[in-house]
Amino acid sequence: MSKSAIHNIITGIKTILVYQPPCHPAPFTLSETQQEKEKIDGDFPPMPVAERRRELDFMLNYAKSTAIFMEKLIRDLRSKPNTEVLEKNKLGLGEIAAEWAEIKKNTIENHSIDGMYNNAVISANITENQHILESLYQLPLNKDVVIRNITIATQPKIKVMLVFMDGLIDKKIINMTILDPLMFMKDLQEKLQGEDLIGAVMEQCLPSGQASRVGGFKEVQQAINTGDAVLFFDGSPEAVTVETKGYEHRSIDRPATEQSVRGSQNAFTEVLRVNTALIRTMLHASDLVTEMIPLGARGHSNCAVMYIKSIVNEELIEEVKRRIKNISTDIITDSGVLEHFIEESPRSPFPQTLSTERPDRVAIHLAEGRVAILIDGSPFGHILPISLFTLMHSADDFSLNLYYTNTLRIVRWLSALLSLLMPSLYLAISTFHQEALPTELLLSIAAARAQVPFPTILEILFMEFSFELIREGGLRIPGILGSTIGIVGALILGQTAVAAKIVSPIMVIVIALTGLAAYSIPDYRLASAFRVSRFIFILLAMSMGLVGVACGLLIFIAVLCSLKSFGMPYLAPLAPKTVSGGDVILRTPAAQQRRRPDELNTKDEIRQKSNSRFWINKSSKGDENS
Amino acid sequence: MKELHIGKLGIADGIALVFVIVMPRVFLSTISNLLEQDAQILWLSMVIYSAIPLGAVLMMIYVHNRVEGNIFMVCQQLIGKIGAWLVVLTYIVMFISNSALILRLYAEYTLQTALPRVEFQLAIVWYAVSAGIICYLGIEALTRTSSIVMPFSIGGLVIVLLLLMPFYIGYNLTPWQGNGIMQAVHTGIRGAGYNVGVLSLILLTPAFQNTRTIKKAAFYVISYTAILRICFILVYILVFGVAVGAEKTMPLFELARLVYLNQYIQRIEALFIIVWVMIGLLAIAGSLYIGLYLIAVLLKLPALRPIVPLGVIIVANLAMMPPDIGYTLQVDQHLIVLFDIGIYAFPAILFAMTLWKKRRKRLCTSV
Amino acid sequence: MYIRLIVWTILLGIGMLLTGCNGSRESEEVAYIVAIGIDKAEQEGMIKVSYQIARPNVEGSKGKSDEDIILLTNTAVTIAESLNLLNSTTSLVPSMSHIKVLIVGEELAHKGMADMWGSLKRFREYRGSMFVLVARGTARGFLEENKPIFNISISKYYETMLSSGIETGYYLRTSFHQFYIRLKSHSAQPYITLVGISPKLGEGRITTKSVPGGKIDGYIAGDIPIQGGNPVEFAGTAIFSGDKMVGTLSTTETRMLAMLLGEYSHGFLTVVDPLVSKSFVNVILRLGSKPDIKVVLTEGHPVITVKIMLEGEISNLPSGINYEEDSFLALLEAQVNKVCQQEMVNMIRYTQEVGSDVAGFGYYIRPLFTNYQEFLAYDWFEQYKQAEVNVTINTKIRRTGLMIRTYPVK
Repeated sequence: MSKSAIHNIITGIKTILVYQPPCHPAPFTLSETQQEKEKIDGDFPPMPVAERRRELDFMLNYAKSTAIFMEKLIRDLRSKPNTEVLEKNKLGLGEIAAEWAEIKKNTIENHSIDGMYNNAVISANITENQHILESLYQLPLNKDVVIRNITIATQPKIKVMLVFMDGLIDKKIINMTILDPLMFMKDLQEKLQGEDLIGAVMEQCLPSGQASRVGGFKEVQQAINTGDAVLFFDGSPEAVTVETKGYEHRSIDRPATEQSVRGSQNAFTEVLRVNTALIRTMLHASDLVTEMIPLGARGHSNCAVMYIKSIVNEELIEEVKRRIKNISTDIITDSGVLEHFIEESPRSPFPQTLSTERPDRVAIHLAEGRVAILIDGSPFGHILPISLFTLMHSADDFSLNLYYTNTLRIVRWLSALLSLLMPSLYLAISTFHQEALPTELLLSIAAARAQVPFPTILEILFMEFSFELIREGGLRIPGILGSTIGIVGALILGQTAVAAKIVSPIMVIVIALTGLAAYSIPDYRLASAFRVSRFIFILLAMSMGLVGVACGLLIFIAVLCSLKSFGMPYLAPLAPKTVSGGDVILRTPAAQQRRRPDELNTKDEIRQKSNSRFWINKSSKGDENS
Repeated sequence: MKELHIGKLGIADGIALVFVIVMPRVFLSTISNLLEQDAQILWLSMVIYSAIPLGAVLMMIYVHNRVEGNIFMVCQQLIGKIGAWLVVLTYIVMFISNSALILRLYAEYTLQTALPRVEFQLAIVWYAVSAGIICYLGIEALTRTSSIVMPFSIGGLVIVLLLLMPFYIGYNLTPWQGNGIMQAVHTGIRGAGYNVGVLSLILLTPAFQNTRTIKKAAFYVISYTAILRICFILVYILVFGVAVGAEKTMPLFELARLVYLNQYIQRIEALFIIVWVMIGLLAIAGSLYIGLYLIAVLLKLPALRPIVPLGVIIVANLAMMPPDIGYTLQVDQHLIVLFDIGIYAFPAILFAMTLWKKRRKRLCTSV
Repeated sequence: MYIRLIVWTILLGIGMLLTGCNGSRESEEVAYIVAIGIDKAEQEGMIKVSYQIARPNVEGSKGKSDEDIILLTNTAVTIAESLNLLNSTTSLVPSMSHIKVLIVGEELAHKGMADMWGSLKRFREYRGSMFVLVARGTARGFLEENKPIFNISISKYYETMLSSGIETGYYLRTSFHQFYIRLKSHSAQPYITLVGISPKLGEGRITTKSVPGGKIDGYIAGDIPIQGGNPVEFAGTAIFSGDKMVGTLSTTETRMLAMLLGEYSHGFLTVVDPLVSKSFVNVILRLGSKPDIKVVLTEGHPVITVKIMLEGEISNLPSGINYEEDSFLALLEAQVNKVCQQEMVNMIRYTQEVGSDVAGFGYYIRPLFTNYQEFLAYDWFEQYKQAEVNVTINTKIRRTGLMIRTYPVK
């Protein structure tokens, strides 16, 4: 008794004095799953694999025995049996059914559908199909998939199951083209079970534009996941997929990143079909082929490879398809990710395909003999193979006046060179080779720098960093404030940095010019590659002056020369000297672009006759000039 | 043995490759030495020593038309294994020493002109590593880069020559016979080794498409370099005269330093450094590549890339060996004699053997 | 494989950075020398070197032109040693790559400059395009007294001053390259622009009197009568024989030299009016074509024939006589011819006396030899002293300015 009182007092004091940990439940930790634990333990986990193998063996045996039993049943039934034999067979059937229920319960509990159901074949029993679907799609947990059971008015009535994914389908199409005709179908005589019911239904009752028969659950999953509806017929080992896509998507808008003054203003959206349609509106060739290749193990998104068959090089197509088909990955969401998988030098910062939002550019390059790759879900299409010169063309060049185009092209190339070399040239000349500057300029630079406490290299790095800061910040600020921050940042940072004598004014000019010059490069990724290389050139200039810059430039050119974009050298008409297609650095008039680019090795080399404007020979009154 | 090259180089590649191997000697001090020997008639010896390697190339093309294979197999068939080893070893020594010599001279001149306070070994290592990187990327990258750099270097050189027009003194070219015509012929014959880069076309025969490509490339490049060199030497004599011209260590650099149009266009030689360094690096890389290629052919190595770092180390160490610039220039003179053997002796021997064998039995022609 | 690449890159990079900055200097750590003056020092065997250094205009202190430049002098045995000593005085490292002019004091020029100037071509920081001047008096005096009146930077001052000599032909611009080429060429002797300081008292000292028919006297630098402004004068030429200065040419003689060299652009000439001997006529002359010079090597002495074609324009005609008409024009042309021919003959004779072939007649004998060795064997400079020179001047006065006739004043 007293012990308990003392005990109480002690515990009372303890609770008052001693810190008690708060009585919260244990926090949620993301611990490893069973599979991972076994993997970490080191051994290749034999148990689940053996387990599954046993399961599969068991099911195989079960199937074999069922098949044997069914054959015996058919033989018995054909040979006019008596009730005894019938009874026995019924018992046998019952056993089989019970065994099957047992198996199903087991497998649903253990969720061992990996590999088992993906390659499963559609069974003739509709409830079985429904069970398989429930396992695949985690029904009734997953509220996205809708299963609708109907019966159609055949003799005898056949149960039909309609499966679709809510949100991806167009409800009106399902009601009008599937449910309506099926449910209000007239009596169809002479339809026997199991004998091409599906064909008859498809031909006579389904007024949908695209319907196809599938036999395995792989295609069924692909269809349901992309927005088609699938019809299962009781008694038929096949299903029908009907095109019902109707999900919400962005409408065709102006290009966000490749604006042009003159040229079509359509841009790709995220829907693959809309994109291929846009290309087809530009290029009405009959042999423009669109091949669809499914990508990704966990969700088969579609990838479209488009080319003009009579022009393109066969080996190129084979290679592209081979590369796309032989990648194994979880899921590919963007065409940029796909590019990283299939390009030859993924470690090189230079883009080896052209990524564009505009269908007119795609159409022009397809007509030259290139290949376009589009992915469902990404508004950027990729064109390959390309050279460095293609990356510097902009969409405006094709339709504007020749002199203007060529002047702008020269400006673009000069500014590309400037954005690569200007800070390093300034650093090299002002610290190593001061004799190259005119005396007055040099004296004013020295005067400006006299009160700056940092060496030139630190000034350059500081200004580069702040420029990148402004740029990155400006990208992420919500729309209205974006331009304000740009002006504020640039003006105030630059101006006050100069006034506070942290940088010299000529440094601000150099960095601002460099940054602006980088924006005139039409391809964003090429500009980023140049930005990275600029940094290396600055380091080289810091250590060895113009000699370092020259070495760096030489190695830069050598690396570019050894780069290949899908088998085509990156500096193609210039480096291995080939016949150009008329549009390398400067653009020749469209009437004189006789050949396709030689380095693409197309099947048909001639684009147009050399006398492409033969109205010149005839006068407008009809009589010919000699 | 798996061939190290597939025949993919074309005319432009051949021109560019030989151009970059041959041209840097224009920038270095050979011109001053030659000017001292020949005075105003130097252009004649340039014509001569450009024409002779052309003859050697034509002879070797004849040989390659009749006998199949790369240079080692050709020599083996014509003069036996020992002869083949001798010939190929001589060529290896020629090209690797050419590479080391140009490396050393370039490092020296960088110290003189562009970066007077740089550490000498740093310059050597820097150039050697850059040349090694270019060699590592392969012959195609090398020739393509050369064909991109070539027009800029020609343009730069021509601009410098034209900008010096206010300084021309026409009478410097007279008396036009200089030190004598025979002297010029003598210098020309002795100096055929200056064009040793042309032999690289022959040694890399498997890399080219066919012998027609080699012939055309050889014609073009020898005429380009001959014209360029003759223009250069004429302008150099016009501007400086023989007496002052023979004093200068770096003729081209001095020419670039002299440019003065008005108070704004002067002192532009720093901008010329970029082109000059690029050509030099390509020369070192090109000679090194050919040397390594011949080593690979000789030792029957399956690939070229792994021995590139070794080649770089060898060339850098060779370049650091001479103790001063005078000794280096002497080595330069002796090396020309070695190059002469490579141009005169070996093609003549191979040509003679081919003729003899052809007379003995009719070989089927193969390319 | 990757790890090896990373390790090698890091090692190479660190090695590269550890070797030091390879001689890079920030632009504000360098003192830019704009002009060098070299004089003979009082001590035997030493020279006095003066450096004019341009000071960058730091923001906040708007530069007055005399605060932009600093003049330093030190005494040493050679130029290189004096550079070493200069480094002890200035906080910035001196750099010679921006030198615009090299000035030599008269005394040193007379003594001979071979041991000093020949070596200048060897050091990499000196350029052939620097201009050279000979200063009457001392170079230091010249640099000190030079106070440009227009507020331009000192390097621009030198450039514009020297490039404007072509406006009159009274002084010629020479670069170090030209001096050196002529020194080694065996065909001509060098010449250098002469500069001097005037006492600014308004009195001048004539060096060459005007020839009969002409009205212009020749001055050399420092003797031109001026008052006010910059006391420094650029006028005349110093002529050399080898590397020693042997004489000077005055302004009118320099003009004749410019004509012989083919570098005479234009300038005013005043002659006595042929019909009214108290009055004068002003003509603007320019070279019509390059001078036609032929040299024939006879035994005894060479014979030099010079034909110069001038074009002119009348700019002042106080007497009012209608020289615009053809018949009178011929008189005027003859007068100009006479004046120019006399001045040129005088100048050439003077150069023959001092033994300095500045006009470059030696170049014209080069094509006459077949071999360079033969050419080197012929001693032109001795033969030049006895050469016979025939000068013919042909003037054509083509324009008459803005007036075509003059009516007399009542």
